[in-house]
Amino acid sequence: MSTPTDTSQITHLRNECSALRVRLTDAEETLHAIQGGQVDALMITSDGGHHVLTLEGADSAYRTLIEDMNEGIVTIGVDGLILYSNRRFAALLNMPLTQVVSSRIEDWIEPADVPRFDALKQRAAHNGNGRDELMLWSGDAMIPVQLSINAVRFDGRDAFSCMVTDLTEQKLALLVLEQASEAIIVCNDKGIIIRASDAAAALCPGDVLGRLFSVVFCLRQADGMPLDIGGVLQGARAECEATLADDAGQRVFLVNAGPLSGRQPDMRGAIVTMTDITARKQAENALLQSVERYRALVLATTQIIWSADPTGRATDANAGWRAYTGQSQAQMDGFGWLTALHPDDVAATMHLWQHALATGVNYVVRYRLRRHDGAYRYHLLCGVPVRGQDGSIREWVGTATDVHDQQQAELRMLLEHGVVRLLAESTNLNDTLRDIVTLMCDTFHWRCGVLWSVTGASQQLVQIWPAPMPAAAQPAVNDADIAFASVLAHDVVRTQAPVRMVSSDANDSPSGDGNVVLAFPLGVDADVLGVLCVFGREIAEPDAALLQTVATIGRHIGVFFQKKHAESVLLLRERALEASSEAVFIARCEGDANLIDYVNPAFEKISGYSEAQVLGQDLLHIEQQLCRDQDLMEIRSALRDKRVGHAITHSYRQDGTRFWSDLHIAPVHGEGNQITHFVGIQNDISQSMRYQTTLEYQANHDALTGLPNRNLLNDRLRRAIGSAKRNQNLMAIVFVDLDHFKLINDTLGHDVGDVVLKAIATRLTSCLRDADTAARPGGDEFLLILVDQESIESITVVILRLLEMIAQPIQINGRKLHVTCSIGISIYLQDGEDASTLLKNADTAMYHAKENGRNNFQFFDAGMNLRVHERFTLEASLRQAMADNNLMLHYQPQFDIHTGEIVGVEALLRWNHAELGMVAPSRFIPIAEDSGLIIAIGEWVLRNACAQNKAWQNAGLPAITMAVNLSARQFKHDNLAHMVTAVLAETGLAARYLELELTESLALEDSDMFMSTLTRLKALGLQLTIDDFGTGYSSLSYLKNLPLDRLKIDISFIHDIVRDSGDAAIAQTIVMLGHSLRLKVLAEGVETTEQLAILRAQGCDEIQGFYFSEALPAGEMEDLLRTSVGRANELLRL
Amino acid sequence: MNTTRSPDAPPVTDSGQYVLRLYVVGNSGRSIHAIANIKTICELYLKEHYQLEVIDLYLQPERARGDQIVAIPTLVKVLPLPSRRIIGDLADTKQICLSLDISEQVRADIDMHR
Repeated sequence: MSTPTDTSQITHLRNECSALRVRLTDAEETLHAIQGGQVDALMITSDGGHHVLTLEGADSAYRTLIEDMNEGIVTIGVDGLILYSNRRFAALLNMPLTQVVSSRIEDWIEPADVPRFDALKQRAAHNGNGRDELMLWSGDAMIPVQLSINAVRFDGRDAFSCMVTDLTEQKLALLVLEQASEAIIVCNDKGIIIRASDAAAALCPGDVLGRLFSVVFCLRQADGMPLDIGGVLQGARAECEATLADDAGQRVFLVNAGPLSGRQPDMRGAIVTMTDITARKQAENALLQSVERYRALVLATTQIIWSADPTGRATDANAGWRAYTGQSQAQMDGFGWLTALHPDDVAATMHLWQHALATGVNYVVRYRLRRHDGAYRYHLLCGVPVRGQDGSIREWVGTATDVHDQQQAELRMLLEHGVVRLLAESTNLNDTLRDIVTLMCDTFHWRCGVLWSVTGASQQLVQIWPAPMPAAAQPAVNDADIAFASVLAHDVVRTQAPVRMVSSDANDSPSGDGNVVLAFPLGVDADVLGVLCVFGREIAEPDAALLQTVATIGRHIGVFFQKKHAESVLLLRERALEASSEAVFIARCEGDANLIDYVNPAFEKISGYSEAQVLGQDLLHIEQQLCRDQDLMEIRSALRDKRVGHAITHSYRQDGTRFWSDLHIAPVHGEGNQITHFVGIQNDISQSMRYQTTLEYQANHDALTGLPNRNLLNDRLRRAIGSAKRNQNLMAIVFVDLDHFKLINDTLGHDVGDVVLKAIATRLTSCLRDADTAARPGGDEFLLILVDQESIESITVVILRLLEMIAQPIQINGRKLHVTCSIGISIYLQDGEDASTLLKNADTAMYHAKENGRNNFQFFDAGMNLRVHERFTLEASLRQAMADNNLMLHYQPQFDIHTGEIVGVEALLRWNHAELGMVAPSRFIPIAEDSGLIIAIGEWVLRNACAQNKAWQNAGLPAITMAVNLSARQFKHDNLAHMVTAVLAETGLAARYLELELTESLALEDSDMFMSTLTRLKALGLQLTIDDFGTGYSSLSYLKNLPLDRLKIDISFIHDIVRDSGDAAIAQTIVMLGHSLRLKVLAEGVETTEQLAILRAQGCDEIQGFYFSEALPAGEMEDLLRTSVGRANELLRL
Repeated sequence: MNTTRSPDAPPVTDSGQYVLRLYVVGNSGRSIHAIANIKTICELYLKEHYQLEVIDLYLQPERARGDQIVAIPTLVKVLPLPSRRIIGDLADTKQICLSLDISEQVRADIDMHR
């Protein structure tokens, strides 16, 4: 019996058996299937896990899949070598497959993309795969591809497998998107723009990609609601018209938005297209509105719009016509509208209208239309025919435009131009004004006009147009009109403003509705130069534009008046210039030159040069031809300094005749104050110069004697005083009064008196130098001015000569007349500083001369009189002494200081006057010098001295030198050397015994002349001594050159030599100086033993003086000479 | 309780439902044929009464263990029991039906419907 356990075991075993049977069956079937080739692969389980073992032939499907795939598949080694390529990849490269495998993949990649490819490989090596878009070379073209790369291992070898997808189509699609004319925007599921066509980008400034669509494109629908693409992103579609909020509603877009239906979430989003339908919308709207708009326009416009039937009858008109004309519809219907036209325009308007109706061409006419207030205003009427389908005219429609202001403006402009033209072309003032008035009237449809000019300070009105003439010639204006207008004209002149007036006198009004008169001022600024009155039928109150025009025309006419006036003034001045007797010229300045532009006829006459000869010539050059050059100094500098100049010149005409020319030049200032011209006036003033000379002469000279009269005398006196004062010269006023002249006049008659006066005048003049003046102030008085006098003595000499000359008898009618005169003299400064004092004192002196018995002269100063008289008495005596041999020589001996011998004598002149006794040389030598007697005296002295010395020698006395003093005057006398030679020869004295003494001051005076004279004298063999040495300023170097033998120490040093150590020093110096020059030194004036001792001690060679002997007469001197040796020794011993 | 169902556990089905697993490797020839054939059979005879799972052992080699797959392609009938496996491209429809216990009656019904 079985147990449950057994049962369960049996069941279990049975089951297990069954299962094994099943598994066996499975295994059998599996084996059978494998053997039967029913299996592609086996599952191998190993330690590494499960993997599939593919049986041979099983992967043919893979191969087919890969080979025929529409993507490029490539296997590359890590070095980029292509190990495998499918056909598609080779096709992409446009190359045979055989050339692709075993090439390097980098060879096919655009070089710029190779680094990215390398990076991709790196990425794949690390991450297993990677993907990027690259450019590959396909033949000559490049194609965009997407390259997916996977790192793989084949049989333990690292490699990459790549899948290459051609993106050309995709890119093209993108390009199409971008360049679509519609704005196409692609958004992602967040509503962010990821792609936008160019047209879309152009709608918004800046970069649109990456921004929220709703922010970039604020679309507003027609109802004002914003367009939200939120719904679209949820899958809805939207289509509407919308505007861009920031486009100010200018453009209307048709917006079409739909979801992007990608399977992957990141492909979802929305695509929006926006088509600009603005133009279409506008066209729609315009069409919609136009009909209504035209309707509204016709109703609303103030412009006149009219219509007429084909026969020309008005059929309808808008409110504009009725409002403007005031006509009712009924009034204007048919041809009623013609009554609103200006009567003058009706005919022409109808004519044109009929023509248009007949021909069907557009109708254009300009006429005056009466406004409701009666004013006529120009309108431009245009009409066009409206034709039906058959081409026939159904009606006429048109407009009438108020062109009055425009028309008036044109008229005014034309008028202004016309006036300016008339003025510019004017040859005759009256004709021009007539034309202007006519033009203005024609322009504004005025009937006629009257024009006045305003003249003079009284502003008198002078009627210029119509010119006063028979009224018949002026049918448009009558006298009544003019009378009325002239009243207005006066108002205009007063108010300077236009005046309008309606004349009650309607007699000349064709329409019978009165004359309207308008008066305008014509002028420049506020200056009313004329008035224009116009008459018309309907002159409206002038508006601003008309006033402006009239003011402009008035200004033109005013300027014209001014110009005419200026021209006439200029013409007059030109005629005056031409007619002038004064030469006038104008020269323009060009640099330094002043070229003559104009000369008047008088210039030609005065200068003798023709206009042709001088035009263009330099002014100065011409004047230099005419005038003495030195007279043109002033003109030359005036031209140079650009200023006024004046000169009176000696001039010569072209023919050489002389004339006096009065030349004025003045600069002319041009614009900018530049000096542009010189004007000149030149006059022939020869005649007036002659008159002037004569007058001047007559005014200044005594008619009888021709001497200066009192007038000229005063002038000369003033000048002489001035000159004396400046030069500190001596000047004398000499009064000469004829003695007893009245007696001559009374007894012999005035004729004789006149002859005497003339003779005296001649004699006086002959005694004077040119610089002096002899004048006849009146009667028998003469007055002399002696200038630049050396001394009182020289004056006295002149006076003495005058007395002598006048005292000569005068021959009259075979009779000798003796006339004497009395002379008074005053000296400038000591007798007075001014003319009147000097004259008065000279007069006083003259009276003293009269009192002194006439025929003599008196100085005003009494002391001077005395000296002068003594002196001249002395001079006369000296002459007498010369003649009477009253002069004599004394001799003072000169000793050798050592031997005591007499070595020479000095000859000294002595005058033993019969009354005065012995006269000192100091008194008469100066007189002899002044009077020139010194020459004769000097010669006398020399001759006598030489003769005496010779006589002593002949008498057997010891030979000594004879020293003779020479005065300066003698020394300067030409023939001194000659005279000395002659004297020596005459007396037989050997030259070496003659010694000439000269003063030191003489030696210094004129070194050249002194040297030559000295040299000539020395050449004679005589001895030369400098007298009075030490008082001058001789220099050693100068003295050294003189041919001297001896120096004589001046007596003044010897006199004080004992008391004054200075004098002693000078004496000592002179001695040393003389010795150093190998000269003997002589001391004169030695009076005492002390003096002698000092001189001896100082080494002086010779001495002379009272201590030894005074000057002795010849006899005594002779005695002395005989005993000289003993005497001298005796003296020297003391 | 473990709520996740093991992939190897038989799927819960209605009674009479067929649960089939076909093990293949990629698109190898017999695998492709096997897929096509079993799909035809299922559509033809089992209509809405089957679940077919195709397992690519290239991609999921570890799934081979559960049904102890050795050769590929192999069709495993998981339900109705007893489980059954058929190796090959499943081209012989008659034999497959037999192996899958798809009765004559079932086939007849199905044929009738056709």
